[in-house]
Amino acid sequence: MAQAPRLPKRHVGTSAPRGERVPGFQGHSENLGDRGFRLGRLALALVALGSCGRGGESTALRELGGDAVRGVVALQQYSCASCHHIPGIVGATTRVGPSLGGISRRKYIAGVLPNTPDNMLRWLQDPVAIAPRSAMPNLGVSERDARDIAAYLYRLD
Amino acid sequence: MQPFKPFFVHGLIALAFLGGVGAIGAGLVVYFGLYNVAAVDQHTSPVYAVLDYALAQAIRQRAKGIEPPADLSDPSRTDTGFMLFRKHCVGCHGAPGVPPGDAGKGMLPHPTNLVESARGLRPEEIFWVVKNGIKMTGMPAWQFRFSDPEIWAIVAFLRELPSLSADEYRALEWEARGVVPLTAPCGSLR
Ligand code: HEC
Ligand code: HEC
Repeated sequence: MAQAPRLPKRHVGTSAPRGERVPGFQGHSENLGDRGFRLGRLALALVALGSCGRGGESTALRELGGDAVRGVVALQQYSCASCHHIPGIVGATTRVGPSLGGISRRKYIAGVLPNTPDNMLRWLQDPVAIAPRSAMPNLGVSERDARDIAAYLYRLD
Repeated sequence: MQPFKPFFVHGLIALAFLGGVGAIGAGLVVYFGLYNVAAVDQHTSPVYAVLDYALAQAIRQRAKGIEPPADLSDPSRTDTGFMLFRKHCVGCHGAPGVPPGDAGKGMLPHPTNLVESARGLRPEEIFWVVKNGIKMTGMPAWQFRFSDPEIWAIVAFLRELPSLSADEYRALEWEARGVVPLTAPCGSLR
């Protein structure tokens, strides 16, 4: 035994600010406020309607923050919909991974992480660190985009 | 037949009128640029459903009469197919445990996850798509880059894709790069 095998390098927090990896998307986030987000708003309004009468949002959800409307576009821009069926995201009816409908009520993320907002942020940014054998790859999701995506996912029924 | 005739004529006039109104309406939508072509603005569900169905039907029709080679899943074929696939397709479509590149992520429609396609499409249908591409989606035609046998090799590899785990795919990829890692190189592929 010459030397201990080096552990594979993880990306969390060590690389350049991840937000800059998808310049097209980041750069346009301002003018997405109007037309680009029309459908996102609609999807969200429907989701919100569905959750009426169940006592508003939990503290955890408020602490998570994030912009669920922006999350709709982020979910497309990281090609999540090419593997997941996601209510409110128009796309193929793919079932490469599990449907993300009802994810807020799931007890474990990918069967290994207790489903808390913090863990969800970890999963979205680096699933490979958590489930190395999973077919879900690291997609280079920035912290901000992960927050927006989680904000949308947790509002799905 | 006499009472039928006026009815028929009126029907035709009404149809022509409605058709005209429709055409003008469509013209106005086009002229004033009302349809948002931004790739961040997803199609509405009905539009998407129609396009998706039309695409599947068109592929099915055109693939009729194409005959896959009898020895499609021959290992030498799948090996060639993998080398072509990793170089030309992964950047848009990704692979088990491997994300698409940034360009692939930003596209609308999304480049399909090919594990799904390999299960949903027949070999001759995949052959037709790869050879001819798909208009207005960003899926290139490859007939001027690859010979037919090479396209069949890609088809043969795609047929194997659903049976590969992320680990197994990574192992293939490391082998192709001529690297034998000491420790499991989890997630270090891009
Ligand atoms: C290449 C296909 C693929 C892509 C792309 C992908 N996923 Fe996944 N995802 C999977 C698979 C497979 C699983 C199941 C993982 C497991 O259990 O180990 C999964 C699991 C998940 C889970 C946990 C679900 C549960 O029920 O436990 C969430 C949440 C999730 N993905 C969100 C996303 C988001 C958000 C994106 C886009 C940033 C995305 N995924 C992109 C394949 C993919
Ligand atoms: C520039 C990006 C790009 C590249 C490179 C690319 N594709 Fe595609 N491909 C797409 C897009 C976009 C679609 C259309 C998705 C849709 O509309 O359903 C598609 C569709 C397909 C489909 C049909 C999927 C289905 O289920 O209907 C197949 C099969 C396919 N591609 C195979 C390949 C193969 C094999 C290669 C490599 C030789 C390749 N693609 C390279 C972007 C790409």
